[in-house]
Amino acid sequence: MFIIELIRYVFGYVNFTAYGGFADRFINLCAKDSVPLWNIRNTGGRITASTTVKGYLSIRNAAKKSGMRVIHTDKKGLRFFIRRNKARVGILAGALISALLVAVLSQFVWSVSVVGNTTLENDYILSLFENYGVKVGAKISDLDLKGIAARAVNENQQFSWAAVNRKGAVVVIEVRETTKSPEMYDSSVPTNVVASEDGVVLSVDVLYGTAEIKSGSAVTKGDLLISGIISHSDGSETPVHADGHVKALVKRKKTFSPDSFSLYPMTSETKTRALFFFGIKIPLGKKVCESYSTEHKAFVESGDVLLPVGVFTRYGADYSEQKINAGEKTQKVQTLYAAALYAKQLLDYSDIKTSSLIEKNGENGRGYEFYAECEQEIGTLQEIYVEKN
Amino acid sequence: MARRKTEKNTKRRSFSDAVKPECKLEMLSNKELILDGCKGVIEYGENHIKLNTGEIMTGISGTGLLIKSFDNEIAVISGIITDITFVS
Repeated sequence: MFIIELIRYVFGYVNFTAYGGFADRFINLCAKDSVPLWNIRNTGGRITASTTVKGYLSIRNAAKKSGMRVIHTDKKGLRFFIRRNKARVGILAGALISALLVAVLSQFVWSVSVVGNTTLENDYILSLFENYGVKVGAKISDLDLKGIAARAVNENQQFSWAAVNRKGAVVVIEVRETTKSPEMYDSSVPTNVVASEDGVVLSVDVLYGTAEIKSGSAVTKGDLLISGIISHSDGSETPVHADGHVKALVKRKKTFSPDSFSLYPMTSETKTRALFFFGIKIPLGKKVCESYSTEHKAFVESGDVLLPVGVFTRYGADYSEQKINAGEKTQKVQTLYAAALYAKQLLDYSDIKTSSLIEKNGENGRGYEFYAECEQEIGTLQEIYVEKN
Repeated sequence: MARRKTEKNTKRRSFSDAVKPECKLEMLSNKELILDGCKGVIEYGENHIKLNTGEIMTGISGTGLLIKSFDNEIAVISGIITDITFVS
């Protein structure tokens, strides 16, 4: 057991070898004299064992009676270590300084991490909580963790729940993002479901009302999809709040031309580093021009935990205000990038079934046309105005 | 005075002996044996250890046997234990 080993080391112990007599009698006599022995090994008539310093000093009686000769082979423990290194003040000073450093530095936050977020970025949450005082290098005793968590939830609608927990010098921010409540409609208001875009209907799921179109029908914007007028057998009609889901295949087309991009050449580029130590930033070079700059933070890692020591590198650049013509290759890359961004936007609300990018020559140079067929919800509610006689 | 003290000690010892069980064994797989009530070591070898546990003797056979600790009538034997015998 570790505690026992630690106690033995702190008080010191002696490893010895005994030989020449009766080993069994020797062990029994030691036990009778309350001399604690451990790791007793008998190898070819020689006993090797360990005992306390006090025990070794009183082992002579047992050795004499059993005819054993005892020789100590090793002395281990803190007391022997201190005695051997009495003249080496540096060791003691180093030990004291490191203990002091750990004691002082553990009063500050070493690392802050975020868990539980799904759509919000870690950097955004960290910068938010930094305004409340939760940051690397902050004094732990100054932080009211429960109060900060409550304040974060009250002041930010994005959080439905938040907690700031401390595990030693590591702070963990746990958040739960607010789930947007669905749009509630007044079900007493009579409505129709109409098409918001042109497309070919793929599926109709009527929740309330009468379906006016079938799967496979082509519809244009404004066409009635689900009627909110229910006809009865006696000829009367009742306006109701129609509701349902209508999915259709919608065609999309967008043109990207070189004219739509602006290119400004970089005139200068600089890089500077700063040493980060527990919230203190020590610059190691000239300040970078601020017209455009990004910062890259590299922290020292210990397993999964980032320590509050690292190097920050700031990259800065200056750009000319005069626009220049981009080369053909640059234009192609820019156009492809813009098309990719557009496709990403489409994916937010639709499912892209097919897509293609076609190169076309225009008046201002080469351009691209992006085509896509997307499956999306096209039903939208339209109120029915009822005249009351 | 010395006689009275000896008589008292004898009474105390016999009372504790009556209350305390003879010997109690606790094993951790076949790697370690904790024996409570060990009065002394009768035989000690690398492959065989015989202990005095009061009315009976306990013999432990195995390989690489080591008395990890022996204090206050508690002996801890470690190694690969293959056999335990009791001899009355």
